[in-house]
Amino acid sequence: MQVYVCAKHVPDTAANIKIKGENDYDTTGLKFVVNPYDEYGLEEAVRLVEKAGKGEVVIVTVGPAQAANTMRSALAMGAARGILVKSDDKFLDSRTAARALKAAIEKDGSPDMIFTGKTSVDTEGSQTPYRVAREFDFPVANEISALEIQDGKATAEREIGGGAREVLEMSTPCVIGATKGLNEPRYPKFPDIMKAKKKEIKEFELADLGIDAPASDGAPVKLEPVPERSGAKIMQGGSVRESVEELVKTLKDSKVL
Amino acid sequence: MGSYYIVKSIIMLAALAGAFGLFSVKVRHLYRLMVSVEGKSGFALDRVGDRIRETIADVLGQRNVRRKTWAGWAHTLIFFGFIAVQPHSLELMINGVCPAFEPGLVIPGIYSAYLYIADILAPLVLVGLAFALYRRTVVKPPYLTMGKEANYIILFTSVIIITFMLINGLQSLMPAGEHGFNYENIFPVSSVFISLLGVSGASLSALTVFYEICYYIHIGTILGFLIYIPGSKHLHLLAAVPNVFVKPLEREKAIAKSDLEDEDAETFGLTKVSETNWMNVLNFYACTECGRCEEQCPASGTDKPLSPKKLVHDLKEELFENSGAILAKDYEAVNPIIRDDSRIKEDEIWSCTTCRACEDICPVNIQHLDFMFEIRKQRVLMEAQFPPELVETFTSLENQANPWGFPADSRADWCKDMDVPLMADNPDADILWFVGCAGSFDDKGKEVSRAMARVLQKAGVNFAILGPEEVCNGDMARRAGNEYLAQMLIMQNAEVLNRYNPKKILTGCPHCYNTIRNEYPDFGASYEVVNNTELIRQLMNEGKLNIKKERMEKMTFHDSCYLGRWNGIVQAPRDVLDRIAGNKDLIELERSGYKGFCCGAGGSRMFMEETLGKRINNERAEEVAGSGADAVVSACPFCLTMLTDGLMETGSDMKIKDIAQIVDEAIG
Repeated sequence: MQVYVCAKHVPDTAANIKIKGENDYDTTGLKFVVNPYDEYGLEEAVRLVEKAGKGEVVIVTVGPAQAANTMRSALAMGAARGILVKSDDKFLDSRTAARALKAAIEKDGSPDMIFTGKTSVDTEGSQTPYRVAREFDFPVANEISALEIQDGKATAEREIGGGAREVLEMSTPCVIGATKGLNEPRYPKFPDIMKAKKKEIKEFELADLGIDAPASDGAPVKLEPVPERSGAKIMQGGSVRESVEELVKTLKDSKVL
Repeated sequence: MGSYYIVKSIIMLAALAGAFGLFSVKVRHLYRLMVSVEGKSGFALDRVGDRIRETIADVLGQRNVRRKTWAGWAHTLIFFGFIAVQPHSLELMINGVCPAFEPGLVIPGIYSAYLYIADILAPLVLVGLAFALYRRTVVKPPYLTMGKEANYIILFTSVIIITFMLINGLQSLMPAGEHGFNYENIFPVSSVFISLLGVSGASLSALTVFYEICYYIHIGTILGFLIYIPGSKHLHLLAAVPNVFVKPLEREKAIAKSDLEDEDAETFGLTKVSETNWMNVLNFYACTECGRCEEQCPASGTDKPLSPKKLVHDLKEELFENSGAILAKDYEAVNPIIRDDSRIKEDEIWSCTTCRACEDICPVNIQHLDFMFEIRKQRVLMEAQFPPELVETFTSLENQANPWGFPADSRADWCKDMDVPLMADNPDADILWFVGCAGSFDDKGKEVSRAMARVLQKAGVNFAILGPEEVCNGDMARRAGNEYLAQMLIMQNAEVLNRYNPKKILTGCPHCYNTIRNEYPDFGASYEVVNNTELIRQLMNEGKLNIKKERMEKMTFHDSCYLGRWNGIVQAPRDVLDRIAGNKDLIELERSGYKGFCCGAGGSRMFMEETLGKRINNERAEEVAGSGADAVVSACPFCLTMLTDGLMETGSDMKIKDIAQIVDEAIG
């Protein structure tokens, strides 16, 4: 089973993002990680291959040269090797990214399954699963929290709100956008971390794959920090009656009521 | 009669040869097993004078054993009485083979004096044994193993002592032979004892027969005991002394640094009992299952599956079970310690708070935590098996260098408005203050840091902090078994520290203190480290901090394990509080100082769920709330959090503060 996992190199959500100029941010000292939703896809892929007893999981990333370090973490979690398509554009438009992913995968082999995360935690575009599927002309299902693959068929479940679940059936190969609940991504064992340092990561330029970096039709114009939320007010002591009166007054003052 | 003595001589020769032969075969087996394990000990035979002094104090002085008063005295009586009997028994053995051997004729003065003393000490063994029996049958402390073994040992020893006294008593009744030694009047106790038995009027031949019977029972029991020792928990008779001799001489110690760069290493941490070293094995041999460790252990005391005694005993069993493979150096065939149906369960390993109460109380200085840390390393590094909630802690440490995952670059935000300089701006500061994660990010911890900053500023100390250049000291990750993550953090800090080369490092958190002081030297960063309480005491002594407001409430102090037991700092916080405490004396908790009871946060337990047994912080909070004090003072940010939660659950309205806050308020 040949499984490809599209994993993005993203800033850790806990980090403070320092905006640089109009539409850029500073990456010095900024911690990058594997996009957490992609990790669910990766874990599922690794389990599939482990279960099949043959095949391999390949990580495919479009990102800067430093993304190779991030890819090592994914390799420590069970992927066999990686392919990095280099691009320094932090906001590379999603059509180009999908075309690059497809070209890289196709150059490498024939996918039995492709996994992505439901979205990336940096730009939250949620485009990759659909666009990659479109490029391959594969079925796609996003926000998948349970998956079963058998006899050329994938049965996937997704939460659709209101406590309801939708169960989808697709032929394989297909593209699965993974989300929380699909599995618990493994914490890597130390020997796997060491082995990952020596695993192969093939690097390509966009041009090597015959993709021209386009004049983007989806570039950000302006980045702004989210205004800090004002601190919550704590009702100080007093009887229940006093507290309730104070609460109502506060809500009225702030025009909520 | 002559022919009888020839027969006796032959019987004795055969019995002695057989018993001592068997004993030496067993001891040799144990020794070979001890030196056949794979691990390297790192033991250096240094400070021999100190080692001898320690051994004399702990063995002949019985210092360590008597930290538990009644049981300790019982042990002391048994110990000296039993030893006192041995030269006499040896004499009887030789005499049995060779009747001409009579030291009494060669050195009558010394011989008589020895017998006189031994005759007084021996019956005291019975007093000690009576107490032991009383404990085992009436008191029945839960931490004592109630096996048959201990009863056999009590029985054996009693028989040896009683027959010793009968032999002495009978000798005092039988007139000395023509050239023989005269035993009259040298047995102050046994002569009275024998007179009570009413055999004084018996004929010489009857007395002789009685004497011979006692003789065989006495020697037989001793030889039986000799054979029994190496296979029983009474192996401590042989192993305790060397174990005390090689014990770590300093209270402060570091977790062994694993060489993660070693590309030939196949495993890290402790997978199999065969990977222990000879000192670990000596620990197993020295344990006599007295249970003091279990009595002190906060996990055992709150109904968790861990008992330090059981851990050591189980490892010993593992060792014996795999002894064939180990002796053959066929380590492949040795079973892993943690496996399906293993003696030691995963829950035991993760219940430990690493408070070190077990090691501190152990009368024979067993180092329980060495096993705990190495097994945890193995679980995390080799198997990635650990409580799942730690994944988030590890990931936060990896990504943001603090266990909660706050943005790393906001590390100095707690002092934004306080004019606290960074080392980058004040590289010549007298003191580099390593604030730590709790002091930088935790709400309560930040309050403590702000209080300490005010204290330092008021005392005119030239200090600076690292701010975002600081990362977690590594304690959490290391004590949770994640040696790889811990080493990354430690090396990062070590590099920064070495760049500034500070004159002195100050820590408010005992975990930072312990790791930086005791473990960083293994990573090339050796600095003088002081704790908040030590520095405050010094500043007070120098007159740089003047108390303006004494506290009128009754205070008690909760010892942090990593300050007290791990580093011996118990006096400094008390000295500081004494100065602030108005006219009132500090109230001491029942479990304080080196016997302080853990808050439940150590060993990275702070970041694990506590689902088994009673919550440790509640247990401690109840003790604190019942102490009669109005306020409890701690000196560790994790203790502060745990006790605050515990007091809340206990429904107590007792105040709780960190010592830095108390000082800050007092100097007003």
